[in-house]
Amino acid sequence: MSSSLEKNMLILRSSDGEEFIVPEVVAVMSKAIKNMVEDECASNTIPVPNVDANILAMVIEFCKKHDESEAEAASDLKTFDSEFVNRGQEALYDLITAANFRDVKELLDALCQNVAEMIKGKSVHHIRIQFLGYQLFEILTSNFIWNIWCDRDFD
Amino acid sequence: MLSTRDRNLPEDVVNEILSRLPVKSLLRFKCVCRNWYTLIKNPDFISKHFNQENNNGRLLVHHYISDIQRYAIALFPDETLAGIPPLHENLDHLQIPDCMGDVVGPIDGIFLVYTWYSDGDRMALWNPAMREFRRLHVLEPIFPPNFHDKVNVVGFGLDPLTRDYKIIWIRNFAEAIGDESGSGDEIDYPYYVVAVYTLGKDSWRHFDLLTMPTRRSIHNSLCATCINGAYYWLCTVVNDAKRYGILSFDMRLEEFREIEVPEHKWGSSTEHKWGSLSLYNGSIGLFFSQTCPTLECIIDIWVMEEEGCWIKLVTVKPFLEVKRPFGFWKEKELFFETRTNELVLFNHETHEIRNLEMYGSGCFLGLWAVCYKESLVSLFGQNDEDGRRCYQFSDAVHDFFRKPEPSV
Repeated sequence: MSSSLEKNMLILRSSDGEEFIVPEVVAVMSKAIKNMVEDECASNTIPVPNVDANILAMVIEFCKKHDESEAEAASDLKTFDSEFVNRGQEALYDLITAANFRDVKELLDALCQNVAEMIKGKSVHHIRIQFLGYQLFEILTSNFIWNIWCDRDFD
Repeated sequence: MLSTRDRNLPEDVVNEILSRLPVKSLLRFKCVCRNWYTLIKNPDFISKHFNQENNNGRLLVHHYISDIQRYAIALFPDETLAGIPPLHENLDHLQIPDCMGDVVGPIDGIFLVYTWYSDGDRMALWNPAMREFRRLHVLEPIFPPNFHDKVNVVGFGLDPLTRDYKIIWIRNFAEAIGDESGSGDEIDYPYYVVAVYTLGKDSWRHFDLLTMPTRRSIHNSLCATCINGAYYWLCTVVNDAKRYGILSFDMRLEEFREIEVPEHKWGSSTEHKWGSLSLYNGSIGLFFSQTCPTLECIIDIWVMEEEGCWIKLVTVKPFLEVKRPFGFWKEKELFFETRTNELVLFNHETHEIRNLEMYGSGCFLGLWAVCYKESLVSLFGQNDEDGRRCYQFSDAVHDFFRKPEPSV
Protein backbone atom coordinates (compact mmCIF):
# COMPACT_ATOMS: atom_id res chain seq x y z
CA MET A 1 0.00 0.00 0.00
CA SER A 2 2.73 2.42 0.89
CA SER A 3 4.25 2.03 -2.57
CA SER A 4 1.12 3.43 -4.18
CA LEU A 5 1.24 6.44 -1.92
CA GLU A 6 2.21 9.71 -3.53
CA LYS A 7 5.42 11.31 -2.46
CA ASN A 8 5.24 13.59 0.54
CA MET A 9 2.10 11.94 1.80
CA LEU A 10 1.71 10.22 5.15
CA ILE A 11 -0.92 7.92 6.58
CA LEU A 12 -2.20 8.69 10.07
CA ARG A 13 -4.01 5.90 11.90
CA SER A 14 -6.45 6.88 14.64
CA SER A 15 -6.88 4.92 17.87
CA ASP A 16 -9.95 3.18 16.44
CA GLY A 17 -8.06 2.07 13.34
CA GLU A 18 -9.25 4.50 10.70
CA GLU A 19 -6.56 5.76 8.31
CA PHE A 20 -6.17 9.25 6.84
CA ILE A 21 -3.89 10.17 3.96
CA VAL A 22 -2.49 13.63 4.51
CA PRO A 23 0.32 15.68 2.96
CA GLU A 24 3.48 15.61 5.04
CA VAL A 25 3.50 19.41 5.41
CA VAL A 26 0.12 19.18 7.10
CA ALA A 27 1.02 16.25 9.34
CA VAL A 28 4.20 17.88 10.59
CA MET A 29 2.24 20.80 12.01
CA SER A 30 2.11 18.40 14.92
CA LYS A 31 5.54 18.69 16.51
CA ALA A 32 5.26 15.15 17.85
CA ILE A 33 4.76 13.79 14.32
CA LYS A 34 7.44 16.11 12.96
CA ASN A 35 9.95 14.68 15.40
CA MET A 36 9.02 11.15 14.39
CA VAL A 37 9.43 11.97 10.70
CA GLU A 38 12.73 13.76 11.23
CA ASP A 39 14.13 10.94 13.32
CA GLU A 40 13.01 8.57 10.55
CA CYS A 41 11.45 6.32 13.14
CA ALA A 42 8.14 6.45 11.31
CA SER A 43 7.10 4.31 8.41
CA ASN A 44 4.51 5.79 6.10
CA THR A 45 1.80 4.85 8.53
CA ILE A 46 1.92 6.76 11.78
CA PRO A 47 -0.25 5.58 14.63
CA VAL A 48 -1.95 8.34 16.59
CA PRO A 49 -2.96 6.66 19.83
CA ASN A 50 -5.52 8.26 22.15
CA VAL A 51 -7.10 10.19 19.28
CA ASP A 52 -10.19 8.70 17.64
CA ALA A 53 -11.16 9.10 13.98
CA ASN A 54 -13.72 11.78 14.68
CA ILE A 55 -11.26 14.04 16.49
CA LEU A 56 -8.36 13.22 14.18
CA ALA A 57 -10.46 14.33 11.20
CA MET A 58 -11.09 17.65 12.91
CA VAL A 59 -7.41 18.16 13.70
CA ILE A 60 -6.50 17.42 10.07
CA GLU A 61 -9.14 19.83 8.81
CA PHE A 62 -7.68 22.55 11.02
CA CYS A 63 -4.10 21.90 9.96
CA LYS A 64 -5.02 21.78 6.26
CA LYS A 65 -6.75 25.13 6.49
CA HIS A 66 -3.77 26.67 8.25
CA ASP A 67 -1.34 25.18 5.73
CA GLU A 68 -3.31 26.45 2.73
CA SER A 69 -4.03 29.85 4.06
CA GLU A 70 -0.58 31.01 4.98
CA ALA A 71 -0.91 33.69 2.34
CA GLU A 72 -4.52 34.43 3.19
CA ALA A 73 -5.53 37.41 5.25
CA ALA A 74 -4.92 36.82 8.95
CA SER A 75 -8.43 38.03 9.74
CA ASP A 76 -9.98 35.26 7.59
CA LEU A 77 -7.96 32.68 9.44
CA LYS A 78 -9.03 34.16 12.74
CA THR A 79 -12.67 33.84 11.72
CA PHE A 80 -12.08 30.24 10.70
CA ASP A 81 -10.36 29.51 14.02
CA SER A 82 -13.12 30.96 16.12
CA GLU A 83 -15.77 29.03 14.17
CA PHE A 84 -13.73 25.85 14.23
CA VAL A 85 -13.26 25.79 17.99
CA ASN A 86 -16.88 26.67 18.70
CA ARG A 87 -17.93 23.17 19.80
CA GLY A 88 -19.47 21.37 22.73
CA GLN A 89 -17.43 20.73 25.84
CA GLU A 90 -16.91 17.02 25.07
CA ALA A 91 -15.36 17.69 21.66
CA LEU A 92 -13.38 20.61 23.08
CA TYR A 93 -11.90 18.42 25.76
CA ASP A 94 -10.90 15.76 23.22
CA LEU A 95 -9.48 18.34 20.83
CA ILE A 96 -7.45 20.02 23.56
CA THR A 97 -6.07 16.69 24.70
CA ALA A 98 -5.16 15.75 21.12
CA ALA A 99 -3.61 19.15 20.35
CA ASN A 100 -1.64 19.13 23.58
CA PHE A 101 -0.48 15.51 23.29
CA ARG A 102 0.42 15.82 19.59
CA ASP A 103 1.83 19.31 20.13
CA VAL A 104 -0.13 21.26 17.49
CA LYS A 105 0.58 24.79 18.67
CA GLU A 106 -1.81 26.79 16.47
CA LEU A 107 -4.72 24.54 17.35
CA LEU A 108 -3.93 24.56 21.06
CA ASP A 109 -3.71 28.37 21.01
CA ALA A 110 -7.07 28.70 19.27
CA LEU A 111 -8.70 26.22 21.67
CA CYS A 112 -7.28 27.84 24.79
CA GLN A 113 -8.42 31.24 23.55
CA ASN A 114 -11.90 29.84 23.01
CA VAL A 115 -12.10 28.34 26.47
CA ALA A 116 -10.82 31.62 27.93
CA GLU A 117 -13.63 33.49 26.13
CA MET A 118 -16.14 30.93 27.43
CA ILE A 119 -15.17 31.23 31.07
CA LYS A 120 -14.08 34.84 31.48
CA GLY A 121 -17.45 36.16 32.56
CA LYS A 122 -18.44 33.15 34.66
CA SER A 123 -18.86 33.03 38.40
CA VAL A 124 -16.55 31.08 40.70
CA HIS A 125 -19.38 28.68 41.46
CA HIS A 126 -19.98 28.04 37.77
CA ILE A 127 -16.27 27.37 37.15
CA ARG A 128 -16.13 24.88 39.97
CA ILE A 129 -19.22 22.92 38.96
CA GLN A 130 -19.15 23.20 35.18
CA PHE A 131 -15.49 23.54 34.38
CA LEU A 132 -13.75 21.60 37.10
CA GLY A 133 -16.58 19.16 37.85
CA TYR A 134 -16.62 19.74 41.59
CA GLN A 135 -19.34 17.97 43.51
CA LEU A 136 -21.58 20.09 45.68
CA PHE A 137 -20.59 17.90 48.59
CA GLU A 138 -16.91 18.79 48.24
CA ILE A 139 -17.60 22.47 48.10
CA LEU A 140 -19.67 22.28 51.24
CA THR A 141 -17.11 20.37 53.26
CA SER A 142 -13.43 20.51 52.45
CA ASN A 143 -13.45 24.00 51.06
CA PHE A 144 -15.68 25.56 53.67
CA ILE A 145 -13.21 28.13 55.00
CA TRP A 146 -11.91 28.84 51.52
CA ASN A 147 -15.45 29.64 50.43
CA ILE A 148 -16.08 32.15 53.14
CA TRP A 149 -12.90 33.89 52.10
CA CYS A 150 -13.99 33.78 48.48
CA ASP A 151 -17.49 35.08 48.89
CA ARG A 152 -16.19 38.60 48.86
CA ASP A 153 -17.19 40.45 45.77
CA PHE A 154 -14.32 41.63 43.62
CA ASP A 155 -16.41 43.71 41.26
CA MET B 1 -17.50 19.68 31.83
CA LEU B 2 -13.93 20.05 30.73
CA SER B 3 -12.26 18.50 33.70
CA THR B 4 -13.28 15.94 36.26
CA ARG B 5 -11.63 13.50 38.59
CA ASP B 6 -11.07 11.05 35.70
CA ARG B 7 -10.23 13.48 32.99
CA ASN B 8 -8.18 16.41 34.06
CA LEU B 9 -6.86 18.97 31.66
CA PRO B 10 -3.08 18.98 31.98
CA GLU B 11 -1.70 21.70 34.23
CA ASP B 12 0.11 23.51 31.42
CA VAL B 13 -3.11 23.70 29.39
CA VAL B 14 -5.01 25.20 32.33
CA ASN B 15 -2.10 27.60 32.76
CA GLU B 16 -2.35 28.53 29.06
CA ILE B 17 -6.10 29.11 29.27
CA LEU B 18 -5.90 31.23 32.41
CA SER B 19 -3.07 33.34 30.98
CA ARG B 20 -5.51 34.52 28.30
CA LEU B 21 -8.08 35.90 30.75
CA PRO B 22 -8.49 39.56 31.69
CA VAL B 23 -7.19 40.61 35.11
CA LYS B 24 -10.74 41.15 36.34
CA SER B 25 -11.66 37.50 35.76
CA LEU B 26 -8.44 36.25 37.32
CA LEU B 27 -9.00 38.29 40.48
CA ARG B 28 -12.32 36.50 40.81
CA PHE B 29 -10.93 33.07 39.88
CA LYS B 30 -8.19 33.25 42.53
CA CYS B 31 -10.72 31.66 44.84
CA VAL B 32 -11.80 28.78 42.58
CA CYS B 33 -9.27 26.48 44.23
CA ARG B 34 -5.90 26.57 45.90
CA ASN B 35 -4.02 25.59 42.72
CA TRP B 36 -5.49 28.49 40.80
CA TYR B 37 -4.79 30.87 43.68
CA THR B 38 -1.13 29.84 43.75
CA LEU B 39 -0.84 30.01 39.98
CA ILE B 40 -2.39 33.48 39.64
CA LYS B 41 0.08 34.88 42.19
CA ASN B 42 3.10 33.16 40.59
CA PRO B 43 5.57 35.68 39.11
CA ASP B 44 6.23 33.49 36.04
CA PHE B 45 2.52 33.28 35.36
CA ILE B 46 2.14 37.05 35.86
CA SER B 47 4.87 37.64 33.30
CA LYS B 48 3.36 35.10 30.86
CA HIS B 49 -0.04 36.75 31.26
CA PHE B 50 1.37 40.24 30.63
CA ASN B 51 3.22 39.14 27.48
CA GLN B 52 0.40 36.95 26.14
CA GLU B 53 -0.30 38.03 22.57
CA ASN B 54 -3.99 38.65 23.18
CA ASN B 55 -3.18 41.09 26.01
CA ASN B 56 -3.22 43.91 23.49
CA GLY B 57 -2.02 47.37 24.22
CA ARG B 58 -5.08 49.59 24.64
CA LEU B 59 -5.25 53.32 24.47
CA LEU B 60 -5.62 55.15 27.75
CA VAL B 61 -6.43 58.84 27.54
CA HIS B 62 -6.58 61.54 30.17
CA HIS B 63 -9.03 64.09 28.79
CA TYR B 64 -11.35 66.91 29.72
CA ILE B 65 -15.12 66.66 29.54
CA SER B 66 -16.47 70.16 29.12
CA ASP B 67 -20.12 69.20 29.87
CA ILE B 68 -19.30 68.28 33.43
CA GLN B 69 -16.15 70.43 33.64
CA ARG B 70 -13.81 67.77 34.88
CA TYR B 71 -10.99 65.51 33.78
CA ALA B 72 -11.46 61.79 33.37
CA ILE B 73 -9.51 58.80 32.20
CA ALA B 74 -10.87 56.71 29.35
CA LEU B 75 -9.67 53.29 28.27
CA PHE B 76 -10.58 52.24 24.74
CA PRO B 77 -12.04 48.72 24.67
CA ASP B 78 -9.88 47.47 21.81
CA GLU B 79 -7.39 48.30 19.10
CA THR B 80 -9.98 49.69 16.68
CA LEU B 81 -10.15 52.78 18.91
CA ALA B 82 -13.90 52.89 18.51
CA GLY B 83 -16.71 52.78 20.99
CA ILE B 84 -15.37 54.59 23.98
CA PRO B 85 -17.81 53.87 26.79
CA PRO B 86 -19.54 56.86 28.37
CA LEU B 87 -18.05 57.94 31.66
CA HIS B 88 -20.71 56.46 33.93
CA GLU B 89 -19.95 53.00 32.58
CA ASN B 90 -16.26 53.37 33.29
CA LEU B 91 -14.94 51.46 36.22
CA ASP B 92 -14.14 53.76 39.05
CA HIS B 93 -10.68 52.32 39.55
CA LEU B 94 -9.68 54.32 36.48
CA GLN B 95 -10.91 57.58 37.93
CA ILE B 96 -8.62 59.41 40.26
CA PRO B 97 -9.18 63.07 41.17
CA ASP B 98 -8.81 65.97 38.77
CA CYS B 99 -5.77 67.71 40.08
CA MET B 100 -3.69 64.62 39.85
CA GLY B 101 -0.38 66.26 39.17
CA ASP B 102 1.89 64.07 37.15
CA VAL B 103 1.47 60.50 36.01
CA VAL B 104 4.46 58.52 34.75
CA GLY B 105 4.06 55.16 33.11
CA PRO B 106 2.97 52.62 32.44
CA ILE B 107 5.61 50.09 33.37
CA ASP B 108 4.11 46.58 33.52
CA GLY B 109 0.67 48.13 33.81
CA ILE B 110 1.72 50.31 36.76
CA PHE B 111 1.70 54.10 36.94
CA LEU B 112 3.59 56.42 39.23
CA VAL B 113 1.32 59.22 40.47
CA TYR B 114 3.06 62.30 41.73
CA THR B 115 1.57 65.42 43.23
CA TRP B 116 2.46 68.20 45.61
CA TYR B 117 0.63 70.12 48.29
CA SER B 118 1.66 72.80 50.73
CA ASP B 119 2.86 70.11 53.15
CA GLY B 120 5.17 68.51 50.61
CA ASP B 121 5.45 66.09 47.73
CA ARG B 122 3.36 62.94 47.52
CA MET B 123 3.95 59.81 45.47
CA ALA B 124 1.96 56.66 44.91
CA LEU B 125 2.01 53.64 42.64
CA TRP B 126 -1.19 52.67 40.91
CA ASN B 127 -2.19 49.47 39.11
CA PRO B 128 -5.68 50.21 37.74
CA ALA B 129 -6.45 46.63 36.65
CA MET B 130 -5.60 45.24 40.09
CA ARG B 131 -7.41 48.15 41.77
CA GLU B 132 -4.30 48.79 43.78
CA PHE B 133 -3.11 52.19 44.90
CA ARG B 134 -0.14 52.33 47.23
CA ARG B 135 1.01 55.58 48.72
CA LEU B 136 4.76 55.73 49.22
CA HIS B 137 6.44 57.58 52.02
CA VAL B 138 8.55 60.34 50.54
CA LEU B 139 11.89 60.95 52.16
CA GLU B 140 13.29 64.37 51.38
CA PRO B 141 17.02 65.03 51.25
CA ILE B 142 18.28 67.13 54.15
CA PHE B 143 18.59 70.78 53.20
CA PRO B 144 18.40 73.90 55.35
CA PRO B 145 14.84 75.32 55.43
CA ASN B 146 15.65 78.25 53.13
CA PHE B 147 16.31 75.84 50.26
CA HIS B 148 13.50 74.92 47.90
CA ASP B 149 13.35 72.66 44.89
CA LYS B 150 13.10 74.15 41.41
CA VAL B 151 13.26 71.44 38.81
CA ASN B 152 11.42 68.18 39.12
CA VAL B 153 11.97 65.24 36.83
CA VAL B 154 10.76 61.72 37.55
CA GLY B 155 11.43 58.35 36.02
CA PHE B 156 9.99 54.96 36.87
CA GLY B 157 11.18 51.54 35.75
CA LEU B 158 12.09 47.97 36.44
CA ASP B 159 15.44 46.52 37.44
CA PRO B 160 15.41 43.43 35.19
CA LEU B 161 17.72 41.44 37.45
CA THR B 162 15.95 41.77 40.79
CA ARG B 163 12.54 42.37 39.16
CA ASP B 164 12.15 45.30 41.51
CA TYR B 165 10.58 48.64 40.59
CA LYS B 166 12.52 51.84 41.09
CA ILE B 167 11.63 55.53 41.01
CA ILE B 168 14.26 58.09 40.07
CA TRP B 169 13.57 61.65 41.08
CA ILE B 170 15.93 64.38 39.93
CA ARG B 171 15.70 67.85 41.44
CA ASN B 172 17.55 71.09 41.50
CA PHE B 173 17.57 73.06 44.75
CA ALA B 174 18.13 76.75 45.28
CA GLU B 175 18.84 78.78 48.37
CA ALA B 176 16.75 81.89 48.89
CA ILE B 177 18.74 84.81 50.15
CA GLY B 178 17.49 88.23 51.11
CA ASP B 179 14.33 89.13 52.99
CA GLU B 180 11.63 86.74 54.14
CA SER B 181 9.10 87.86 51.57
CA GLY B 182 11.04 85.79 49.06
CA SER B 183 11.63 88.69 46.76
CA GLY B 184 15.40 88.37 47.13
CA ASP B 185 17.83 86.54 44.91
CA GLU B 186 18.52 82.87 45.03
CA ILE B 187 21.62 80.77 44.59
CA ASP B 188 21.43 77.38 42.90
CA TYR B 189 22.83 74.35 44.63
CA PRO B 190 25.51 73.34 42.11
CA TYR B 191 24.37 69.73 41.53
CA TYR B 192 21.18 67.97 40.67
CA VAL B 193 20.02 65.96 43.65
CA VAL B 194 18.92 62.43 42.82
CA ALA B 195 16.59 60.30 44.92
CA VAL B 196 16.17 56.62 44.06
CA TYR B 197 13.31 54.67 45.59
CA THR B 198 13.27 50.85 45.58
CA LEU B 199 9.81 49.33 45.99
CA GLY B 200 10.93 45.92 47.31
CA LYS B 201 12.95 47.53 50.10
CA ASP B 202 10.62 50.53 50.48
CA SER B 203 13.69 52.73 50.84
CA TRP B 204 15.18 55.93 49.44
CA ARG B 205 18.77 56.74 48.55
CA HIS B 206 19.93 60.32 47.89
CA PHE B 207 23.03 61.41 46.06
CA ASP B 208 24.32 64.29 43.95
CA LEU B 209 24.46 63.92 40.19
CA LEU B 210 28.06 65.01 39.79
CA THR B 211 28.41 64.43 36.05
CA MET B 212 25.69 66.77 34.89
CA PRO B 213 25.88 70.52 35.54
CA THR B 214 22.65 72.26 36.47
CA ARG B 215 23.14 74.45 33.43
CA ARG B 216 21.60 71.59 31.50
CA SER B 217 17.91 71.10 31.89
CA ILE B 218 16.34 67.64 31.96
CA HIS B 219 12.90 67.03 30.46
CA ASN B 220 10.19 64.57 31.37
CA SER B 221 9.40 62.09 28.60
CA LEU B 222 6.00 61.66 26.96
CA CYS B 223 5.61 58.18 28.48
CA ALA B 224 7.80 55.97 30.68
CA THR B 225 10.92 55.75 28.49
CA CYS B 226 12.42 52.75 30.24
CA ILE B 227 13.93 49.96 28.16
CA ASN B 228 16.00 46.96 29.24
CA GLY B 229 16.57 48.35 32.69
CA ALA B 230 17.56 51.88 31.70
CA TYR B 231 15.51 55.08 31.86
CA TYR B 232 16.14 57.86 29.34
CA TRP B 233 15.55 61.62 29.54
CA LEU B 234 16.14 64.27 26.96
CA CYS B 235 18.24 67.22 28.14
CA THR B 236 19.25 70.57 26.74
CA VAL B 237 21.95 73.07 27.49
CA VAL B 238 20.23 76.02 29.10
CA ASN B 239 20.25 79.07 26.82
CA ASP B 240 20.97 76.86 23.83
CA ALA B 241 17.81 74.92 23.25
CA LYS B 242 19.16 73.50 20.02
CA ARG B 243 21.80 71.38 21.74
CA TYR B 244 20.27 68.16 22.91
CA GLY B 245 21.65 65.13 24.69
CA ILE B 246 20.26 62.12 26.51
CA LEU B 247 20.74 61.23 30.13
CA SER B 248 20.19 57.59 31.00
CA PHE B 249 19.97 55.84 34.34
CA ASP B 250 20.88 52.18 34.74
CA MET B 251 18.31 50.68 37.11
CA ARG B 252 20.57 47.86 38.22
CA LEU B 253 23.86 49.68 38.76
CA GLU B 254 22.14 52.95 39.77
CA GLU B 255 24.51 54.85 37.52
CA PHE B 256 23.99 57.66 35.05
CA ARG B 257 25.33 57.77 31.51
CA GLU B 258 25.17 60.35 28.76
CA ILE B 259 24.26 59.49 25.19
CA GLU B 260 24.59 61.60 22.09
CA VAL B 261 21.58 62.37 19.95
CA PRO B 262 21.74 62.50 16.17
CA GLU B 263 22.97 65.68 14.54
CA HIS B 264 19.89 67.60 13.60
CA LYS B 265 19.45 70.44 11.14
CA TRP B 266 16.69 72.81 12.09
CA GLY B 267 14.92 74.82 9.42
CA SER B 268 16.16 78.38 9.06
CA SER B 269 12.76 80.04 9.27
CA THR B 270 11.68 77.95 12.23
CA GLU B 271 9.65 79.84 14.75
CA HIS B 272 9.42 77.31 17.54
CA LYS B 273 11.41 74.08 17.95
CA TRP B 274 11.57 71.44 20.60
CA GLY B 275 12.53 67.83 21.19
CA SER B 276 10.67 65.13 23.09
CA LEU B 277 11.22 61.49 23.95
CA SER B 278 8.78 58.60 23.66
CA LEU B 279 8.70 54.90 22.79
CA TYR B 280 8.48 53.39 19.34
CA ASN B 281 7.89 49.66 18.99
CA GLY B 282 9.97 48.81 22.04
CA SER B 283 12.75 51.32 21.31
CA ILE B 284 13.38 54.91 22.31
CA GLY B 285 11.79 57.33 19.82
CA LEU B 286 12.95 60.93 19.56
CA PHE B 287 10.77 63.69 18.10
CA PHE B 288 12.30 66.88 16.78
CA SER B 289 9.37 69.17 16.14
CA GLN B 290 9.39 72.62 14.60
CA THR B 291 6.75 75.05 13.56
CA CYS B 292 7.22 77.54 10.76
CA PRO B 293 5.86 81.10 10.82
CA THR B 294 2.96 79.76 8.74
CA LEU B 295 2.20 77.44 11.71
CA GLU B 296 2.99 74.41 9.62
CA CYS B 297 4.57 71.71 11.76
CA ILE B 298 7.38 69.38 10.70
CA ILE B 299 8.40 66.48 12.90
CA ASP B 300 11.52 64.37 12.41
CA ILE B 301 11.38 61.03 14.14
CA TRP B 302 14.50 59.14 15.14
CA VAL B 303 14.67 55.70 16.70
CA MET B 304 17.48 54.48 18.93
CA GLU B 305 18.26 50.95 17.73
CA GLU B 306 20.77 50.37 20.49
CA GLU B 307 22.33 52.76 22.93
CA GLY B 308 23.82 55.67 20.97
CA CYS B 309 22.90 54.21 17.56
CA TRP B 310 20.17 56.22 15.85
CA ILE B 311 18.28 55.74 12.62
CA LYS B 312 15.90 58.24 11.13
CA LEU B 313 12.46 56.72 10.85
CA VAL B 314 10.49 59.37 9.02
CA THR B 315 9.82 63.05 8.61
CA VAL B 316 6.17 63.93 8.92
CA LYS B 317 4.34 67.07 7.96
CA PRO B 318 0.95 66.21 9.35
CA PHE B 319 -1.20 69.30 8.77
CA LEU B 320 -1.41 72.78 10.04
CA GLU B 321 -2.57 72.80 13.59
CA VAL B 322 -0.32 70.47 15.54
CA LYS B 323 0.39 71.65 19.06
CA ARG B 324 2.56 68.73 20.11
CA PRO B 325 3.15 65.06 19.36
CA PHE B 326 2.30 62.51 22.08
CA GLY B 327 3.71 59.24 20.86
CA PHE B 328 3.13 56.24 18.68
CA TRP B 329 0.21 53.95 18.23
CA LYS B 330 1.34 50.63 16.77
CA GLU B 331 3.93 51.12 14.05
CA LYS B 332 2.44 53.50 11.58
CA GLU B 333 0.45 55.97 13.57
CA LEU B 334 1.20 58.98 15.71
CA PHE B 335 -0.85 60.90 18.20
CA PHE B 336 -1.04 64.64 18.29
CA GLU B 337 -2.73 67.29 20.26
CA THR B 338 -3.98 69.98 17.91
CA ARG B 339 -4.00 73.67 18.64
CA THR B 340 -7.71 73.35 19.34
CA ASN B 341 -6.93 70.70 21.98
CA GLU B 342 -8.22 67.70 20.10
CA LEU B 343 -6.61 64.28 20.11
CA VAL B 344 -5.91 63.05 16.58
CA LEU B 345 -4.30 59.99 15.11
CA PHE B 346 -2.13 60.42 12.04
CA ASN B 347 -0.93 57.59 9.84
CA HIS B 348 2.48 58.60 8.51
CA GLU B 349 2.24 56.27 5.51
CA THR B 350 -1.25 56.89 4.24
CA HIS B 351 -1.47 60.40 5.76
CA GLU B 352 -4.90 59.51 7.03
CA ILE B 353 -6.11 61.66 9.91
CA ARG B 354 -8.57 60.50 12.49
CA ASN B 355 -10.10 62.62 15.21
CA LEU B 356 -10.67 60.52 18.33
CA GLU B 357 -13.11 63.00 19.81
CA MET B 358 -11.22 63.39 23.03
CA TYR B 359 -10.37 66.88 24.16
CA GLY B 360 -7.97 68.74 26.37
CA SER B 361 -8.76 71.96 28.14
CA GLY B 362 -5.80 73.97 26.94
CA CYS B 363 -4.05 73.41 30.23
CA PHE B 364 -0.55 72.00 30.01
CA LEU B 365 -0.60 68.20 30.49
CA GLY B 366 -4.40 68.26 30.59
CA LEU B 367 -4.51 65.84 27.69
CA TRP B 368 -2.28 62.81 27.43
CA ALA B 369 -2.48 59.37 25.88
CA VAL B 370 -0.47 56.20 26.43
CA CYS B 371 -0.58 52.61 25.29
CA TYR B 372 -1.65 50.51 28.29
CA LYS B 373 -1.57 46.75 28.91
CA GLU B 374 -3.14 45.41 32.06
CA SER B 375 -1.04 43.35 34.43
CA LEU B 376 -1.36 41.17 37.53
CA VAL B 377 1.69 42.69 39.21
CA SER B 378 0.86 43.45 42.82
CA LEU B 379 2.20 46.58 44.48
CA PHE B 380 2.03 44.92 47.86
CA GLY B 381 4.29 41.92 47.28
CA GLN B 382 3.36 38.28 47.66
CA ASN B 383 2.28 38.04 51.25
CA ASP B 384 -0.15 40.83 51.68
CA GLU B 385 -3.72 39.94 52.50
CA ASP B 386 -5.60 40.84 49.31
CA GLY B 387 -9.03 41.30 50.77
CA ARG B 388 -7.97 44.21 52.87
CA ARG B 389 -6.50 46.21 50.02
CA CYS B 390 -9.38 45.62 47.60
CA TYR B 391 -11.65 47.51 49.93
CA GLN B 392 -9.07 50.16 50.50
CA PHE B 393 -8.60 51.30 46.92
CA SER B 394 -10.97 54.26 46.97
CA ASP B 395 -9.94 55.21 50.52
CA ALA B 396 -6.28 55.16 49.53
CA VAL B 397 -6.92 57.38 46.51
CA HIS B 398 -9.06 59.73 48.56
CA ASP B 399 -6.46 60.08 51.31
CA PHE B 400 -3.68 60.62 48.82
CA PHE B 401 -5.39 63.59 47.19
CA ARG B 402 -6.76 65.11 50.39
CA LYS B 403 -5.66 68.70 50.86
CA PRO B 404 -3.64 69.30 54.02
CA GLU B 405 -5.45 70.91 56.96
CA PRO B 406 -4.64 74.63 57.07
CA SER B 407 -2.14 75.23 59.85
CA VAL B 408 -3.35 77.47 62.64
